Amino acid sequence: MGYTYPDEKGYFGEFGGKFLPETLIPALEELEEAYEKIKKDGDFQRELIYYLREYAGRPTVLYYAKRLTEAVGGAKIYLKREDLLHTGAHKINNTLGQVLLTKKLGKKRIIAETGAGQHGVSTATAASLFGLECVIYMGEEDAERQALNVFRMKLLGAEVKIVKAGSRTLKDAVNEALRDWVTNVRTTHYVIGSALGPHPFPVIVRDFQSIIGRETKEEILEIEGRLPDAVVACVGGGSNAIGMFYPFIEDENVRLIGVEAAGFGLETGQHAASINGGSIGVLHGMKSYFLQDEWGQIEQTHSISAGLDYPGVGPEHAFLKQIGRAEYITATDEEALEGFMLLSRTEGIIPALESSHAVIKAVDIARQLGEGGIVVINLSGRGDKDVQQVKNILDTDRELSERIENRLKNNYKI
Amino acid sequence: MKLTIKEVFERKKPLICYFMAGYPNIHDSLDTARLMIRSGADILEVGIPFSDPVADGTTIQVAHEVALKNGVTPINVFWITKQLKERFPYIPLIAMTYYNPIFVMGEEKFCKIAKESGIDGFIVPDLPPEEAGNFKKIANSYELDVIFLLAPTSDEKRIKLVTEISDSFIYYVSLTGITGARDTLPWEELESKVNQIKRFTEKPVAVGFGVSKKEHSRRLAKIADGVIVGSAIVRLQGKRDMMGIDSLVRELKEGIKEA
Repeated sequence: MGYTYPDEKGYFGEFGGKFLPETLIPALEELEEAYEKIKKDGDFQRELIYYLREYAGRPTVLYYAKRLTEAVGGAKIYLKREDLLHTGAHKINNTLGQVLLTKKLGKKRIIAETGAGQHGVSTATAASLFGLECVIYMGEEDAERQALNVFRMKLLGAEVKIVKAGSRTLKDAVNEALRDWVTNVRTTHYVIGSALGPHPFPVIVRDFQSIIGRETKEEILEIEGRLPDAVVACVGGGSNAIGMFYPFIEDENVRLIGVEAAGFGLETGQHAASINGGSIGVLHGMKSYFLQDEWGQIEQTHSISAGLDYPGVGPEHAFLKQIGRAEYITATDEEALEGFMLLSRTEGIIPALESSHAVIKAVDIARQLGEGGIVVINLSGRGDKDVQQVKNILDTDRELSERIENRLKNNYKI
Repeated sequence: MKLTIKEVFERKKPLICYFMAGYPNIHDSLDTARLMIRSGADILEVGIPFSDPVADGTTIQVAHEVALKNGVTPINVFWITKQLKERFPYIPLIAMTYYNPIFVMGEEKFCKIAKESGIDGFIVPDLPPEEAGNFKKIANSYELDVIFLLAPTSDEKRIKLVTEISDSFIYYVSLTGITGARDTLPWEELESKVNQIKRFTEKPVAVGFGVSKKEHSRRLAKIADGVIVGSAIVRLQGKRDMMGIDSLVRELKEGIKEA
């Protein structure tokens, strides 16, 4: 036994690889080498741990959600509180790591893509902390939806470049960041925000995020004296999920459950569930699952949560799905809203819409497992950023609002 | 008479002209291709539209987008190349495409249809040698060339790898960046890099990216074995500026002859 993926070529089974223009391949090789070094570099690890603890607020607590557990009626539900981190989400685990890595590479400029703006804000934050020049690419449509986050990034000293090409969303922001990287690769590091892209990015992001799962393991052993029956996390690109799953991969009795965004429903074609609704393809440097047409053209996606609104998924998730180690299910926009309101009402915690997908599916799993079971939700981010959007949706769609209220009344003991 | 890519390079320093198939529509793009051949193009690079062309600058991005909006698929592109090959058998045709359309159709099927449609080789910018083993094997089994790229950032190790694996010629990317017409090129670096590459291989080296005028083709023909022009053509192609395309191709060709 022993899970040793990826292989030396950056493959998780048939997924992963390095599908990028020649200009960037030497930079990927350099990154791989530098990363191998810093992995074993005690000073680097100590510096990272210092900033994660003193600046970002680690370790995060594993909180027993007693009222949610009682309202659901089933297994005990725990929340891994990544939402309490500085900047409000797990993203900072990765950006601090990659910015420190940038310093080791001797580069002075970083670039990043962002959808809703969470990864952009987190990258701009880390850049500000370490005095690096920072450029964030954001699709025009996302920038309009998240104007406040654009201002936030500027406030932190970053330059925000609005992308008007293609669908003007996250996918196009990645394209534009890659174009910048091809042009400025000698001076610039690309801080990819999720566990995707060409090798070694999926490994780097996974490793920086896996502190989530490692802490969870220690904490649950201390509280419950045993491992959970299931861990649940939302999956867009998949960085918070892989961070939670990875340390549990060899613990075969722990179910690993990823929740993709089903948008208006898988059957409508308007969703962002690459594993459940997509097929194998190659984009953004990796072979994985993508939402694409029969000719390999990448399709438009839809999710209520901008952070999950991406047409692909990290290669390690594709692999974990294929070997059957992890399960991937979906939650619709409406279900996510139910999760959003359920957690707000039972625990006084407003979750990010992304994490709300995991919350609502954990309800089903807790009921399946029944009393005596333990389920952990990775609460990857907080919902402050989503409050305005949710208000608008509930105000304009009264029927939807009523349906959710009825379900909260009928399906839970609140 | 039919000529392979290799045979054209043996006869002269070719002008290689890129156009986007299906831009601004299928028939106009076919006209662009025919015109470029009459104006002096020696080899054509045929762009297959893709939704996410990460190696391309704005000009060619727009061409990808418009062609896709027109519903252009690889099958339409192969129809164009078939027409071209029947009329101009002595002009080699290189399909330039991102990897996903090949992968999704299936490498075998893609190569088979390409071969039947008069294609002589492929340039796939997001498929570096490390990932290309299987595709190259299949393409070569259909007598199709796979041309690989080198860039200013490529070190000796990569130069060795690419010069060994690339069929018929090496595509040297003149600058660290994306496609797009430039006023000037990084001449000093370019010359020393092409010379460095030539120390590793007998295969010809053609230079592309940024090429937009006669001065470029003249200087490049002194350094390298072929000149590739893309965005400068595509910009005119989008405007259906046939006179502009004609004079650009002639001008570039003259530059090569003067070298």
